[in-house]
Amino acid sequence: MTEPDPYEAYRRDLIDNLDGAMNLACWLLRNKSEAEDAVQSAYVKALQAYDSYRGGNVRAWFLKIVRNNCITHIQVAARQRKNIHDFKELTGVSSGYFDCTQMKNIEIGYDLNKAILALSPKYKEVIILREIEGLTYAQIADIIGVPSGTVMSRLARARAELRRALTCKIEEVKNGV
Amino acid sequence: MECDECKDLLTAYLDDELTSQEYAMVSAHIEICSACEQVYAEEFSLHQHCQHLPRHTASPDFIEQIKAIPLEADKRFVRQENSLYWLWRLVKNPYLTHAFVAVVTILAMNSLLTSHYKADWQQQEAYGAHIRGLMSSPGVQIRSSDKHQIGPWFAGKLDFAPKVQDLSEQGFELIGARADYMRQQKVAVLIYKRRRHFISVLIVPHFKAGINRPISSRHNGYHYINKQKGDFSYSVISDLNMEELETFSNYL
Repeated sequence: MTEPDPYEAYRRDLIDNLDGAMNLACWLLRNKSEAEDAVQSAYVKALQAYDSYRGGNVRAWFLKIVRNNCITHIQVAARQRKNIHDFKELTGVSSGYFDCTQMKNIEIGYDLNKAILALSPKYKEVIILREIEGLTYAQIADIIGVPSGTVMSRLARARAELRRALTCKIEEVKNGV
Repeated sequence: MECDECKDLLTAYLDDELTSQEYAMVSAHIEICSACEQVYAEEFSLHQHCQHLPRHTASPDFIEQIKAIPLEADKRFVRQENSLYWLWRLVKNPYLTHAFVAVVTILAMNSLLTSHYKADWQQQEAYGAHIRGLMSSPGVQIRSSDKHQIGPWFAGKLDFAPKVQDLSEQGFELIGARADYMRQQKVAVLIYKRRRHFISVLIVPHFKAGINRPISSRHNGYHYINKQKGDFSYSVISDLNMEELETFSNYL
């Protein structure tokens, strides 16, 4: 029986993790075609960086490249749009893209979407990586390049902001308003 | 545990990222502190709502598009292509390999045959020139032992200026010279004498000779040596013995 080619296995692992990559890119960039561009570019970079891949979690490695691509994209877009309002729009509130109809409570789901999109990228990314991708603090720390303690404090801050945004809506739903 | 400390750890408590000791301490505090329990309940509720957030996935078309990205996107292959990858591809392809071997073989054979052919005709021509010279005993157009007289004599007769050496001190007397014509090129012929043996030295510019290696041979009692020196190719032929002829050719 022949040994599997490690490069081919690595390539397959990257392809298996395209969903997670697309999820992170869509949440950060809020635009499907831009997210696909970022993921495709990250995939090619990941292939090219095979020599520097030291084993370990391919998913975290791939998401790190995707995340860096997205952050660069956001920074470039922000520089291009000198108006501060444009930057707020980019990282901010409105969303016509996200489908909340699958959520248990559509109203809360919509507001939660809005609240997450309103977060600044550094809080948004930890929420997405933890709550949707289910990564550990150590994996998130590796992806965004900060200590685990910083991941925890960012998560706490992000959750506090989301709680504030949702508290009223949750109360309204509870009271049947 | 104080409330502030508990609230700092609630996020990690929810995510199961605490040590067992920290986990026990937070659990115990929540049991007795309604304010912290309320915060935890809100965090937990938020966490539950987040579990229903949409997860965006890659479309089948996009996955196919990614799978279709060629291996050349990989830097390793690009790098190899810049250096030896073309050779690897050549070796891998049997048709290209056979074609490559055939071309190399033809070129090598051509080079070898051309070299042999040129060496052969130059030998034959040298023998002929020497015999012709002997038949008109000794076949000189200028009879002189003075190299300063023979050198200028070639001017206008050849399109190059051969080096003429006086080797009488070495036992090879310069008799004279003539201009000959062989295979569509002009040749300088110097005649020397060793005892009763005449030696013909045929000189042509190196690039016209097309031979890159020294040659010596025997034919019908004559000895032939070809050597390259500087810009010229020297063909030495005589009925002198080979040892002395080699000694002579070394002086050229």
